[in-house]
Amino acid sequence: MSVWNIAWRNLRSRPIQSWLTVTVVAIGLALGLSMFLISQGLREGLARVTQPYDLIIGAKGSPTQLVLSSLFLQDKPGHNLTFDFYASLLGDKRVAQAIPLAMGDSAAGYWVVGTNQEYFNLTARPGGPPVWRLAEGRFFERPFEAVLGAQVARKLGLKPGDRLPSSHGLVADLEEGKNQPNEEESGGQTGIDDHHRSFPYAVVGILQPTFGPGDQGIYVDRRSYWEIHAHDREVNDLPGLEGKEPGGITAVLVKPTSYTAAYQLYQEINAGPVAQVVFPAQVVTKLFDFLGQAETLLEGISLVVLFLATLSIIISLYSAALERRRDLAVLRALGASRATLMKIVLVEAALVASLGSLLGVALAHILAQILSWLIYDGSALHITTRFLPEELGVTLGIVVLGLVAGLLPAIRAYRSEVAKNLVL
Amino acid sequence: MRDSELLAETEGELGEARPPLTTLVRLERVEKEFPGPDGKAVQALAPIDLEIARREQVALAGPSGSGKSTLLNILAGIILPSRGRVWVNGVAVDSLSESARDRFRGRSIGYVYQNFNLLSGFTALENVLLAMGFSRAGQKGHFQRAGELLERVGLGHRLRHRPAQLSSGEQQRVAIARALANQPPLLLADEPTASLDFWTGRMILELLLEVSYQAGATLVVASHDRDLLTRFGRVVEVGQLQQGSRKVLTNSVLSG
Repeated sequence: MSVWNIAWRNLRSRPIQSWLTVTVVAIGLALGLSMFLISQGLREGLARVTQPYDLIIGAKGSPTQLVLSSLFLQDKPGHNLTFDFYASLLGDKRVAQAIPLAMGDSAAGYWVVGTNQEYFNLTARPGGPPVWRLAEGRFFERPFEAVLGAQVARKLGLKPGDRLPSSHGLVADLEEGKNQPNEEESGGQTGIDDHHRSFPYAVVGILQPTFGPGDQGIYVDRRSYWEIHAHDREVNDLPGLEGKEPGGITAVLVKPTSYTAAYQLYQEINAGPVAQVVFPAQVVTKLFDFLGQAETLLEGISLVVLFLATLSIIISLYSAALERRRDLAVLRALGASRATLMKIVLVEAALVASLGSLLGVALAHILAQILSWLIYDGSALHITTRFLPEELGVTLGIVVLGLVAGLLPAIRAYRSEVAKNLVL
Repeated sequence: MRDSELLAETEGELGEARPPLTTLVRLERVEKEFPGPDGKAVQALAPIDLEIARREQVALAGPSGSGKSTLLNILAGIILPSRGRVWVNGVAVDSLSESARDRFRGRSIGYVYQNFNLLSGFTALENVLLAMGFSRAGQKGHFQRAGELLERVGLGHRLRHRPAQLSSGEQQRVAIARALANQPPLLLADEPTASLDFWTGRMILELLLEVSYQAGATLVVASHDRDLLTRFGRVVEVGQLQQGSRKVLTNSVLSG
């Protein structure tokens, strides 16, 4: 009978102790690994979302808010830019493309993004395929036609030909407690007011899923905003809009002609009093820094749990070696050498650690998958949690850790006395 | 390592003293002391000279504490004598390294204990297989042979039972089958019937005598049960005599 066989039978002969130890190892690993998987996925996912956008220009305020609201559709949008400013961008030679975004309204709990048809031509890299592709219907051509993000269409069960009402701010979500509307800015309106309700959108197209936050957007012609907000315009008389092109632009996605142009725009506009220019990738990097701090904390926690797991292997195998003094002595009496007894205990440790790490990797992926579903449900940000090459290293590391933990009990077994323990 | 290699290991200065081939066991002035609690040596086995022929069936008699178990453990190479020489099957056991003694034990010694010493996590069959694993690892036919041995001790129908599912008599039968696993030339039994009721003890003793005879093995049984000793042609009294003395009692002396 081989050493492996004996070690395996020994583990099986004390199932509760063995499984508890395996579970502690698995939890220690799963805790650390799942967070690592999620944060890796999150980094990739966040970076992917910002790919199509070189620069974002919005009103002065928080850069993070500007990126979160216009790219991730997560935060309430800031103040609007003047149309003059937008017009000046269009006329700027350093600007190759300037796509307006009008935000602030919602429909059925999803942000309505007013833009133009250029938006649908955005690509993740120069010359690449467009980010947005139609699954059904067509892109909007006139005000009050809406193209729905994949998740919106799926969750609301809408198809081309259906209608949906819009409201100012994410009011519908207030009841669900899901997001933060900006009713203060719209003069304290709550509920879907009659004024907006009279301008329902006609669904004309459904987008293919991009597995990004954009799947949670409703895309309409920017001029719809203009017409809906004619009332606001009369009340608030926003400066710079009188007698001009339709305004109400929250952000502008800008593709500069060159790298130098990007930096010139960045410095010029940020120095001025009107607007701010943001490199989305830069803002996301800041988010990563924040993420990094959380990772460090979780890394620390999982190291502590792994330390406890090592201790529990030591305790479990050491007490087993003590409990089985007689069995070990019998094996010696049958001709097993001290080295063989040591091998048996080390193999037991390696088996516990291997089982624990396999279970831990599986558990980590299940946890990460559940978390990624929750994140996708909340933000439409798709996080892929594939197997990483690091995992193999971690698994081997745990097995080595198990062997180290098994050393003390193995030495205990090595030193056990035969004659005395045979008569126990 | 083969027996011939083991033999070679003890050749040289010891070679010329090797006992004749008809002798399986030879002890020359073997004694054992253990350190006591006060640091002074405590005698566990008084000096003994003993020769046992191949296929002989010998009983070691004496009250508990007389050193019977110590003597068996010395024969098995589990412990070393403090003084004296030990030859078993032509091998000078006292001069072997510990790992060589482990190999020697796995190959040349079958050991049956008072408390059976079966491994509780393993079936009857596996307990027998375990013994085979440490002497001739990787040999084919282990399963069949282990089954046959259990069959021989009357447990052909209990192969897959664990020790806890067997009666104490049946457990001792498994232990006997295990002791025979490697066809050892020397079978040792330390109070093999002490944990059993009278009739079961009798049956186990008869089984030991029979299977060791059939297997061509030498049997050395330690027991304080005078009644049991009558079944042996030779009884060796251990530990009661003064240092340097040796006494071999025969059955007629005991019963007379």
